[in-house]
Amino acid sequence: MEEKIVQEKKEDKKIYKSTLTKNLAMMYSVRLGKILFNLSIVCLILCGATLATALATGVIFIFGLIFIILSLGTVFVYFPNYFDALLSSGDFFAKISSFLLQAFPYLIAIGIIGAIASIVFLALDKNEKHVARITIASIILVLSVVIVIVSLVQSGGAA
Amino acid sequence: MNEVNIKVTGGIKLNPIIFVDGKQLKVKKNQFGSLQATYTTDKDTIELSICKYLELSGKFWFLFAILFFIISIFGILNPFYDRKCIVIDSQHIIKLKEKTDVNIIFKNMVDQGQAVEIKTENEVEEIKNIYYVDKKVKKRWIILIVTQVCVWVALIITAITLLATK
Repeated sequence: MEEKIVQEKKEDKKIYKSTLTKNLAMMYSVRLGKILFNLSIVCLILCGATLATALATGVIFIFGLIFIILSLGTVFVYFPNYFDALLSSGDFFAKISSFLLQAFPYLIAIGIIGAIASIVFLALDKNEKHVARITIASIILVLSVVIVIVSLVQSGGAA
Repeated sequence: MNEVNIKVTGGIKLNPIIFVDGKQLKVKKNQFGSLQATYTTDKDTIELSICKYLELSGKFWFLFAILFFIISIFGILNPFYDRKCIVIDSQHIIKLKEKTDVNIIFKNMVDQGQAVEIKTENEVEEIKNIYYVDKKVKKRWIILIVTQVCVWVALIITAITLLATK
């Protein structure tokens, strides 16, 4: 009788361990999926920032010039260093833009890989459906691929 | 053959693991957001156990936690671990008829509080039914938080030193 109880306990422990391992593996894969999803979002934001800073450099300069024209040059009376300040702010954005442009291919690659991996890992979860995350990751993936295609076409055209 | 229809209401976010006679039950979400499963058996009774696993209860918890901490850029992109560390310990024996409907309703997650309420027309024997804080996992969670804080302090000190030497 005692032997039977001991054997049953051993079997229970075995079942507990095997289910624990399976469930933990699933939990870890979901966590990894969530991390990669967050990473792909950050990469997409940085890619957008690359475009934004490149645009900002031009936009600031154009608005600065428009302001000079609209004020009929009187801005120089009140702010003698206006033009220098305008150029330096443009320089600042240009520096950030050039840094982000250098990192752009890596960012987009990490974004695409992160989005694909997160979709796979999140889809593995049997306990919970991550519909929102998977949808957003798919959108990020499509956007990233479109950006890659556009940049490749542009670089091809330039060559 | 006896058929048991098991329905789980509430507590789905807890990711409960349901065992019937020692085997994990595969549950599916129905259109109302409840979990549902059907189990068939020759026995007159079933042993229904519900438990919840925590990520930090694994053997290699620290290794995985540190790995995820590094991958997630020092925890910035890492989702939070369960701070409460509350687990479920529930075991019931249910007598069966040819067709049995069992509704498992999860109670509010309070330490030492009642975990689930079993609603069925049949006879139910409650062996254990409690929410409790897994002290081992709680200790691990504290260790992890302390480690992460230490790493962040070390990183900040390194960054300040590097900036100062430049």
